[in-house]
Amino acid sequence: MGEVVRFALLGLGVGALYAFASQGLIVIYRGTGVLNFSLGATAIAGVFLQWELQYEQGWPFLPAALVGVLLSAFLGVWTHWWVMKPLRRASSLVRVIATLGVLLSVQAGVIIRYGSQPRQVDSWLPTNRLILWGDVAITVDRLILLGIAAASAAGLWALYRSSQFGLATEAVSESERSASAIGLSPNRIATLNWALGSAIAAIAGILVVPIITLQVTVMTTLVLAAIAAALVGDFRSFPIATAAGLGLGVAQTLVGRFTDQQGLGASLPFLVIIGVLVLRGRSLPLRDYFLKQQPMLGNGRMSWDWTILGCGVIVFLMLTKEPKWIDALTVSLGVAIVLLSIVVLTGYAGQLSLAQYTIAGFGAYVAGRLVAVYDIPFLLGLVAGIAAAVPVGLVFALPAVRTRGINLAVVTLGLGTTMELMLFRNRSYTGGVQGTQVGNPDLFGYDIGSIKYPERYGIFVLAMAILAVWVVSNVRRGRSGRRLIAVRTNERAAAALGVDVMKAKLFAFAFAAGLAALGGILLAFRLSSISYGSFTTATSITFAGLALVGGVGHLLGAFVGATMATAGFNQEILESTWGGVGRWIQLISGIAILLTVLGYQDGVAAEWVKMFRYFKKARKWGRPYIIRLEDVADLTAPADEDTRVAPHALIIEGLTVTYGTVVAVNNVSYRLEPGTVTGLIGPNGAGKTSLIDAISGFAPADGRVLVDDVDISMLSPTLRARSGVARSFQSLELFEDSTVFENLSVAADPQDLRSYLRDLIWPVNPTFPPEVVRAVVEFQLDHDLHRDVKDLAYGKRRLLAIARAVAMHPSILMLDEPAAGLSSAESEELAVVVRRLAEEWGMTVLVVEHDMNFVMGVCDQVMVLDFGSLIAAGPPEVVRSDPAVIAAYLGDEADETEDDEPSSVGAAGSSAMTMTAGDGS
Amino acid sequence: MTDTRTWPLLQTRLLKAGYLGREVVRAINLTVQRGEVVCLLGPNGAGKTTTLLTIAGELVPVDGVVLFNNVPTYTPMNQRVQSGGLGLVTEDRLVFTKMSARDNLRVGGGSVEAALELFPELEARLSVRGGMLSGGEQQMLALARALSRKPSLLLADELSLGLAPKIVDRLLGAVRDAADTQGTGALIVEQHARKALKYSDRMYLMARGQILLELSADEAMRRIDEIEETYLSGTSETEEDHIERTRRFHRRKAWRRQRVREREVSRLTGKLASTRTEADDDYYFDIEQSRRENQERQKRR
Repeated sequence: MGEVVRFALLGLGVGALYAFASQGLIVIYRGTGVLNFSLGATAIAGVFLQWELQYEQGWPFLPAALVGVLLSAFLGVWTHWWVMKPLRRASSLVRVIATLGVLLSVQAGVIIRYGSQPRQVDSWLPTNRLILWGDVAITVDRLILLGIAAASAAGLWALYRSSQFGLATEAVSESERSASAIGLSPNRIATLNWALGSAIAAIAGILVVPIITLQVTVMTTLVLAAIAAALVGDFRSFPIATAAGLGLGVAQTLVGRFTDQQGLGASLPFLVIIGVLVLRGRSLPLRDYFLKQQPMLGNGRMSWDWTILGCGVIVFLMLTKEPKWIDALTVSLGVAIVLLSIVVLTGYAGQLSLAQYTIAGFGAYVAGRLVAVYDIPFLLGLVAGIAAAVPVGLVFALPAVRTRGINLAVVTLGLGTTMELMLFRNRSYTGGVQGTQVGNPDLFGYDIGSIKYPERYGIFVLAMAILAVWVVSNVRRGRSGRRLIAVRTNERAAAALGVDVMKAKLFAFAFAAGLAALGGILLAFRLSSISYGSFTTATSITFAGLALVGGVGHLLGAFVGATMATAGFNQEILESTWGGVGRWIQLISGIAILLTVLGYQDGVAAEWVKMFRYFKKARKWGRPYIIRLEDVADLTAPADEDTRVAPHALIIEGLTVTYGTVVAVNNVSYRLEPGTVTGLIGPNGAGKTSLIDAISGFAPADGRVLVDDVDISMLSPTLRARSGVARSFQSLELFEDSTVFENLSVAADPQDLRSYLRDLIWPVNPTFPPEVVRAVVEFQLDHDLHRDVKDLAYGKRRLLAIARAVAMHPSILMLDEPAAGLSSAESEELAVVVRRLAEEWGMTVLVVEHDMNFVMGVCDQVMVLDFGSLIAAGPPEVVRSDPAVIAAYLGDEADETEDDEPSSVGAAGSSAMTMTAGDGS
Repeated sequence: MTDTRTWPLLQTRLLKAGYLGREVVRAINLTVQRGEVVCLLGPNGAGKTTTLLTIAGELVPVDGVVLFNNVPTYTPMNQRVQSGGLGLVTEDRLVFTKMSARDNLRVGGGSVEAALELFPELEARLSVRGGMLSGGEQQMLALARALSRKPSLLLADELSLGLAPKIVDRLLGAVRDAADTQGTGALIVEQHARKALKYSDRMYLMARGQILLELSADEAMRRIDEIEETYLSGTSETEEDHIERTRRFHRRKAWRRQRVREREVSRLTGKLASTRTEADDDYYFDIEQSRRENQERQKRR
């Protein structure tokens, strides 16, 4: 018992560090909405500076500490001004990688200056022992640390609760726009918070470093524990996070002392994170911006000419250069395969996973152990390793179903670190001191071992890399690729089109795991004895950054990024040109990541592609990439009659939507007949979009929704879409990075599971069934199929949004403000099309609109909502002169008696108004 | 004899505004004098909120200028509110849900006492969290905070949205009061015309991005039916739009004719025809067109 307490008290030291770090994280998060992964690195830079000033320059403690803290604060402010501020409209993927880029750069810089060996530092705080009771003793410094952590928590709590600065920070964290509107400067608040948060972490580091040794990697791994503690405090509460941090430190020390499982203690933070994020259903309250720009995607077409040329060059180099060059090339090719997995997972599917290299290590682990222990042939081991990694990928995918963006990054980081700590660092699992002995790999008796025949191994790796590129290219061009991209760009729209988002994510993770395993096995088997210590999480993070640098949406990007890897091609070049400079590759990688993220977010390969396309167009050689409707139309099916949809009525019964205490839709019941157009009108905020959200499944509602007599009220949006209920969105929600053709394909593709497997080998060229062809012609998009959505004119974009919903061949079509912003003539054309959809296609159409002319001209029936209730319904002429409707729009009160003329409005009296352009003062 | 011209508190000249390159508001000229309440009426999508946000400084004008006291202003929104004498109440109420009502009033430098003078009914709710207040209370809070700093110009967007008539009276009454007693000029955007006109001095009617009418409040009440007509019927596309579209149509036809001619010529003379087709033509035409428009826009600036 006494020993438990003793170790618990010992753990207070490291617990105080976690507590302080979590306070720093929360300060920065509350001020700016950014999860600062680089907090540990900026803090340790300050600590190192203090150490240098005190021990090498002979300064006294306090001035040295002050300068160290100032350095950290300065690095924090610098990070905000030069990295995070320019990125405030970027996607969360890019912002996470930006902080990781800062982490890598600062860490590399510190290693270059101070080296990576641990140093022991004397404590500034008194360390005499204090007997508490019996044989339980504690050193004074830990007590002091506990006291300081508690005082800091209390101080921060008071600061953020009632001072003007604290209120301003709270306001900015809730809504930057509202804060600006009341006169606060979000930028100033952010700067102050970054400085404060970084300073707190630096002070913590300086005080605690005597307990843990002074070493770069210690502080950077503590960030995971700090995130766990901050998460328990919901990234808001200083007292709770401090308590959680102290508790975590104590728990870790106890676990480390009393269990034999190596690495379990260090994995404790991760278990806390996964508990909070996934089970409790909490997520990091992100501030996501409306118009996030995602990195550009390549079209996934492999150019065989260039590929063969490239292969030829590489083979030539391999056959003629010395082994160290061949090895560098081999490493780069192997890393390229791992980066390809990141291209698929993060580029195509938009899921940020910071553990790909760890999964690669797992594949290598399985393959290596099988070959070493059971002596199976190399190829079999390769296949087994890949097959074993796929289920692991699925396990990593499960959190992705409930979390996204930064939450997912944190969870994958935790999972990867756990695997690294518990599996790879554990000697008893990895073959003891001499590592896993796998001998020389051979291919059906042909020795390709890298030690004796580096060029043979290199060419084998090259062949595998080309195979990987081919498979990824197939997926990109096939149905599964389109689904992944739809999920990446806009999950809501994808679900509304019938795409099963969860299965798409599972596929992406599984496929990426297989690819990563392939790369990992090839990299590991270069040596005849594998040590798994190199499969670190830090490298996973670096690879994610390198993939972004190379171009995370492009096949070529994986190769470009891979040249920057440690022991890869670029390092070899640097090393040969300026000796001894090779170790700077880490720092250069970090800076390259930052520059990419700030400037060329699409990556190097994307810039090349853009230049190439520009060159092609300027010189006018090659054929411009045009898609003709005749080429993609499946004209084997018969004529017009078959484009009618199956007629179904839409019935809503007692539909009620409440958001907290606000009732958005109040007990609405109606029946919409097939072949008719029903209008839904009402003043602003009446609940029209909420009603459509409820019918299509995007808002939870009471009441029932039926299609004929099938109750769909319990189905998810995806399943409702598949049962024939399609909708368009007020904000269009188009897939901006894709072409018109791809947008329509996602809607028109059959939603089958088989295509996930089939696309790996044989992607089907998508064709449009006749009804989709007819829709394309109807909406006049036949000449625009190849154009990117972001290049389309406004009117065409609105038409595309509707065409996409129609391409699903739905029985029930709901359009949310289709004519917004269109000119009068365009509205008329749209009205004609909508009429045709109902009469000739036989759809049940529900249209929400503000434009009265449109509604009156098109609709057979009109529903009027006000404050969520249905106040009138019937033919347009009747509704128009209904006094209740007029009152709702114009705000008359029942007791308004001044202007006693009857308030019925003339039918088409616009000419009666004398209009003068508002021209002068 | 000196000519004492009093500059209007707020004036916009040929203000064009919009989002993401789309021009939503074209060439607006409006003024607000000290101590005057001006309401901006019009149907949905007319561009009223866009105008207001451009005057507040959240949106940068595409063209034209906003003048405060005859000085053109280019500062960002938070500076205009903090030190420029602007008070702003936007459509999304500016109430911070996690703070108490008292803290909501204090943040940004508001004064709790002054706010309670305006709306004494808030006193009972001072310690309630912002998110728990009713819609009317939230709106009172936002308006009180803005008015408690004694701004010279108040901009308010749809104060009455979704609120009961009595509360709307309180809110608009407070604006009227501030104008009468403190000389605050106010520009309020409203959907419900009759109520707003009761408390205003003047009104502008906007539709489809342009000001159609400018009247005094009394005149407007007399012609209220005409005004309400615009709400229930969409107004037609302006002359300019129509001419521009017809011009583009004719230009596109001319371009196509020229390409056909070129191809004929090269076929007859045996020279190699380019591999471009009609679809390519349109595509390149659009690129040319937008490049030309950009250049014109640059020149005009």
